[in-house]
Amino acid sequence: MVAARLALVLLVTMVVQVVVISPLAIAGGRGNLVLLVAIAAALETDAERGAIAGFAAGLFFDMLLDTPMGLSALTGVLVGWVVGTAKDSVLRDAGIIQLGLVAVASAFGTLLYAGLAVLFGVTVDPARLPAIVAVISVVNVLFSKPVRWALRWAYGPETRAGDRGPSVFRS
Amino acid sequence: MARSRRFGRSRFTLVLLVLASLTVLTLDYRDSGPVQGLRSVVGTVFSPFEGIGNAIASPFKNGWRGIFEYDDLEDENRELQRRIDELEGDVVRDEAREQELAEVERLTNLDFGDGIERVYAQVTKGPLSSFDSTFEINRGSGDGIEEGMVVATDAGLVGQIEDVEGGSARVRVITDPDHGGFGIKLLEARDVGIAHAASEDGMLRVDDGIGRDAAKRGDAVVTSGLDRSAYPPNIPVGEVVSQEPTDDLTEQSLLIEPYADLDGLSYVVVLLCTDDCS
Repeated sequence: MVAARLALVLLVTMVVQVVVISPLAIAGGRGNLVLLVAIAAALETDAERGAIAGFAAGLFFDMLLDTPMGLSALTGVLVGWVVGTAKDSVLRDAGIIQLGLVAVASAFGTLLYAGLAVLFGVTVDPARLPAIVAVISVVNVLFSKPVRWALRWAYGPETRAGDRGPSVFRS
Repeated sequence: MARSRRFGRSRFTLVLLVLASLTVLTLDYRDSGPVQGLRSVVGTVFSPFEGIGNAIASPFKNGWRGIFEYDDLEDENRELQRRIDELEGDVVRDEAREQELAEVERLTNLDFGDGIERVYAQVTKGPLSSFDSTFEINRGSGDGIEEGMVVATDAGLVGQIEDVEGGSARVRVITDPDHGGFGIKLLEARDVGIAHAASEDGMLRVDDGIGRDAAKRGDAVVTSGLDRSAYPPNIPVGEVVSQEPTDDLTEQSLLIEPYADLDGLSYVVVLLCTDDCS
């Protein structure tokens, strides 16, 4: 049931990304809700589920892009895991801190993606990066509430942060 | 203890997912058939959902454009008003349809690429992320399109075909950092150089090769078509918007704004030639 709800949230997120966010270029940057899914899943649950959500959303997005397939997935995995770990380790559950974390994690994810993209032969213009990072961070902060709400619904009460269920890999 | 066990499992999941991502990346890097096939299948399955999303978002998008692209809309309306005045009494057509028709008509009257067979195509999907400035058209290998073919509008050069499938193709625009440099020529001064994507969004830059006093703001730039150039000669590229001397003061570097509106393309023309374009 959780998987079905998650799939629905991913599908809707992807449609919003492709139809609303992607066509809206601001200073050469386009928002990236795929990254936000990884961040929000990690905030709502834990590092493990954040990484899995980041992988699923990233792989889905990769299949629609012309950049190397697996790049968004790898970024999503790492961002989801880092955010989940950071949240568990150091962060308090204050709204403003969580918004700040979304912004910082979005910036980190974008720079990570750019770095990995360069490694895999995609040309990235460093001069455009600050604008891209800023746009993605702002868009993700703006969309963080609805995406977190959707993921909270998808995961249900049993798997949310603070009351984590078993690992998906437990036998 | 439980926390440590959970952290261990979490790390195991992380390693597994990273390995899965790297496997996909490797398969894609090796250009393996299943990965491309999967991409094509997902694109096909996703497109009806995209259509529904577009239908729902369309009124909101129009409202957004009305608020934030007011100046552009004003210019556009003035041009439309002029046409309506010329046509005296003709029925006012639907604005969007008239724009599209006019665009297609202009494409049929290209004043470059004489004698080269061409195919007209509609842009079906724009760039999806900040790191991907390719767009998709609704013509593919079934229409004679091949990788490397030239894509243009009546305004000028747009880019090159990069990937082709049966009924669609992806185009890499000339301002994409991954688009290689290409030969250009100043129409008036005849100086030639190599243009490539500029750091400024949507612009081109020529670093050297242009004589010290050869270019001035507003000068027209066309493709040179010289040996090893990716494009045939004399396709309009853009106009010089600024120029500054190179470090050794013997030449100029130029910033060029493409004539074609690369962010707002609806229709394009593909010149069906690869090596025999000139």
